[in-house]
Amino acid sequence: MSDVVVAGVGMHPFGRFEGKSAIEMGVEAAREALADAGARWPEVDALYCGHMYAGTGAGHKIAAALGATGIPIVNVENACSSGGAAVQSARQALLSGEYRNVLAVGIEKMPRGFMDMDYFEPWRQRIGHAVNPLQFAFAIRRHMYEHGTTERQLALVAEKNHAHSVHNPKAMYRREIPAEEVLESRQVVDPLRLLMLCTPNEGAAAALLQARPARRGEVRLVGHGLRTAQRAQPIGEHMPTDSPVGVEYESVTRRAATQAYENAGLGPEDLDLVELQDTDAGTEIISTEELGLCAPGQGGALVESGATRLGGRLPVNPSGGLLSKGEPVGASGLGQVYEVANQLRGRCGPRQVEGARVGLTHALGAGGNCSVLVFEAAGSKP
Amino acid sequence: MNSALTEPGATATPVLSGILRLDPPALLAGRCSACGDLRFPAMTLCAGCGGELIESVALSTEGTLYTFSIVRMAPPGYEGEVPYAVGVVELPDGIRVEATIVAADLEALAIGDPVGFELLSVPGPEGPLVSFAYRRTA
Repeated sequence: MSDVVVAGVGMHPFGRFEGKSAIEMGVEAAREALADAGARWPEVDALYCGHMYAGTGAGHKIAAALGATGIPIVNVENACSSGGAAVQSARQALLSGEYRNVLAVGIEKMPRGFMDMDYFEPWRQRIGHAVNPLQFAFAIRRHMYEHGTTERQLALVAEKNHAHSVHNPKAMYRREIPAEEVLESRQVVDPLRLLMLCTPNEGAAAALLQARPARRGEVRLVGHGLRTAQRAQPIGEHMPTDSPVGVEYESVTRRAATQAYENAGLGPEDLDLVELQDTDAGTEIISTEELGLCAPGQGGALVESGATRLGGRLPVNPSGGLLSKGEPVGASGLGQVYEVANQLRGRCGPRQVEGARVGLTHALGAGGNCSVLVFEAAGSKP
Repeated sequence: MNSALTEPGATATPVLSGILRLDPPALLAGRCSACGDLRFPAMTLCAGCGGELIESVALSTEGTLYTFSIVRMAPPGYEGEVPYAVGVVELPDGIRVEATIVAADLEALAIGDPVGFELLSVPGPEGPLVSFAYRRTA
């Protein structure tokens, strides 16, 4: 079987860009990815476009702007996990042998404030239950109760990711925010305060994937996992109206990660860096456990130990994460791919993870869908 | 305004049909007559066994708070007061349900608090709608 090579990546900064459409940002990210790969748009065999709010035929509009070459285009909507799902679809298409060059692009342009999501039925909106981060608050409140996770540990997640963002010119917020300031910010959905929550915003990112043997130093996409919620899922991203008592299945993150590790032939002990879904500080703590980076219940202690900081044993969100970049939901997963691909090629300057050879991305979306991707620098293992 | 409905009128409109019993007040779930799987709100098909016969059952009016949060800014589609609390209530029926949580002092809510069911009025586009809550009873 041939390798799937991340031949090039591109990213339009995440932030707010008045007067600029998601499509325009997507075109820029796509062109940057093509240029990075030394490829031309007419060589692309298929396009997968992740987005949630960009309307009908978003990928088709991007292709039209780049040149209507008549290729297959699939728009992928998996809420906050759309970008990850687009990349895994691209990988599967390449592994099928049908294509040689596939472009995955993620785009988004979102209003301020709580996400307006029609995932929630009108009656849930009417009674005030249609609040995205409410579900994250439920999960971390319970985690604090069961494992003794502290508010300070939540604040340390934000402090760490903002410290990383200072070195990322494509992040929306680029200043250090000490834990004390995080703890003084206003409550939004207790125990999650304003500075523990990411900002829905705008941006785009893209990756050109190719089916061919990887050259030494190139980045291979070696594993993917995509899983969805089951009946008895731990409370959180799948936003249930009910759950049964007395049965609890493995989390969707744990199941997606298990799949990705298995098809990569790698495990959490092989990772040099992780870009994970820090929609909020609580989800980062829980996700470090569910990805197997530490034991269950130890996510708070892990961030407190400094292990997940740049320079630590396993840096988590060296890009600054969604807490610093913001979360343009269709683009965020590809933004993670952009970071990991550049880290594995040693291109991240002051935020470079020394000697990084293996990296993982993790995105969670509504409906309880989780995508995990594992990347490895070719030639890194004898 | 979110206020307890002490006298739900005959014309009161539930926020969603089939989820509330007004008198005596209770939350209605669906139970599969084949496998007993309990869901709130009721589904048309049993997601456990595929059974097609779902009976409507009233859930327990007493439970405990499994987790919760206080929402401090109004989300899309909501016209009631802020702040307000939403939680997950564990019921002896073997199900946890997401519900609005009412208490004299929201800041004092804690996991494990005993709660009891009550009806609640929420603003709707064409007048108030009947919703539901669990009130802290400790």
